[in-house]
Formats: sequence, structure tokens, C-alpha cells
Amino acid sequence: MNKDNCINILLVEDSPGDVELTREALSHGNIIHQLDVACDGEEALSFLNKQGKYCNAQTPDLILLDLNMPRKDGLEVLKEIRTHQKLKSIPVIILTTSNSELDIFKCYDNYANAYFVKPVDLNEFFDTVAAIEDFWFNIATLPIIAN
Amino acid sequence: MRNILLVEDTITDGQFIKQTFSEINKYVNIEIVNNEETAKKYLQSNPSFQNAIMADLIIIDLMNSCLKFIEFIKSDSNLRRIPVIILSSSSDNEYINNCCSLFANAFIIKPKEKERFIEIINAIDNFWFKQTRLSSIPK
Repeated sequence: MNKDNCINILLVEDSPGDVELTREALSHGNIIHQLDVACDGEEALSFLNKQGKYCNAQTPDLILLDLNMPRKDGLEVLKEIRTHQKLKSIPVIILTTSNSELDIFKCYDNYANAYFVKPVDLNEFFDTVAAIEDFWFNIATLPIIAN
Repeated sequence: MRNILLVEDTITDGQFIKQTFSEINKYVNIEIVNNEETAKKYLQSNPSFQNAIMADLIIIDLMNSCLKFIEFIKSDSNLRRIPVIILSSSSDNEYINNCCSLFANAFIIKPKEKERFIEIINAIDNFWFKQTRLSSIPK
């Protein structure tokens, strides 16, 4: 977390519609945050490793990760984060349309912090994002990762 | 039923957590053990029976470091799917980072005020049992 208490959230999501919905849902909460967006797994890892245009990127306090994405999927991203010496303690929340039990198992096996199936209903989706915000930013204490 | 394994070495806190859960969610069953060794035995009590998930959620509230216990759970191929929440009076950054690096699912600083404690228990119930999909509970 920054000294100014601004929470940095990285959203890894390939659907522009879901990005906007998540952005709106997060803005309903009272948490001061900066939302960065990566539209696939490759971009997420470039961002996290501060490569190329992301050389000044802020290491996120929390990652919201979709599973089914082009180029590199969410599970691959999760595995790379969890084996990365510096990044491995960042909370990663899976936010996906996949309801598959196999996906749920694989994500928890690879140390996802929590798994959410994106609700189709708009109000339920807002409730989900609110629960994530409340639990991670009001209740839990996040690890401090050097930028 | 949702089963919580609570590893708790303070009897009054264990009673408080159990009582609070029983008031907010009648489908939560809490098993309290007061040390890591008993917790390990509990978790391994029926390893040959594949569907015998002993807990949907593990909450660890111990006075001493629980790093070894987190490592034990998170390096076991069956147990590591169970979310582990650390409740601790320590707010030491290094300790928090170490717990998270060993893949504890969440770290919560234990409050002194009762109201805040109730708020935390409500949030755990809402987040883990009403919103999240756990590996142990098919919908």
C-alpha cells in the first residue's frame, strides 16, 4: 500500500464491458483506489514485471484476475505470480464466468486467495465487488510489497 | 453445513467466535482445537476417504507464530485448497508478509474492541460463505 493510503488494484480482464462494470462497482465503495487494467495474461505479466511501457507501473496491492483470456490465461498468470519471489504474496482474487469445479480446484491448488463466479445479475455483481472491497480493504491487512 | 476448524489457544476468544457465528449463520459448525498438533490430527483424521473434507475454512488464532502450520497446510496436496485465515494480534509487516508468502489466504489483525470483532466475524461469514466459491462446496 502507498504512503498516501491509495490502494492499487490490477484488473486482468479481456472484456471491455466487464472492465467498465468492475470500475463502476469499485467506485461505489468508499475506498480510495487506483485501478489499472491489463487485457490479457501477457499484458498482466508485463505490467507486474514493469516491462516496456509499464516501467513506471505501481506494484498492485490486490489483483482481480479473469481466467479465460487470449494469449495467456489467468491460471498461467496465477502460477507465475505464485512462483515469483517478490510478487507471490499479492492477494489474487479470481473473478470469472467459469463455474467449472476443475477450474475452482486448479485455482485454489495454485494459491488463489479466493474464487468468484461473476454473477450475471447486475446487483449481484455489485454485491460481489462490494464484498471483495469490504473484506480486503476494511477487514484484512494486506502484505506490503516493495514497489 | 459449513465447517470451520478454529485453531485457538484462548478459550474465551474461541467461545466468543463460536457464539457470534451461531447468531449470524446457523449453518456454520465450528470445531475448536487449541494447538497445531491436534489440528493436524483433525485434518488428517480420514485422509484415505477422498470426499472427507474436514473443514471448509481454517481460522488460526494462536499467540505464537503459525508459519510452520501454514506451510504444512499449503504444501499438502489435499489440504491446500482449504482457505486459511490468520487472526493475529501482531501487526508486524514482516510477519504478515511471511504468512502471505506461505499462501495464507488472508491476514486479519485481531481487534481489542468487541464491536470490531463482531464486524470481522460478519465479514468472514459474508465473504467466505455467501460470496466466494469454495472448492469444498459445489453450488
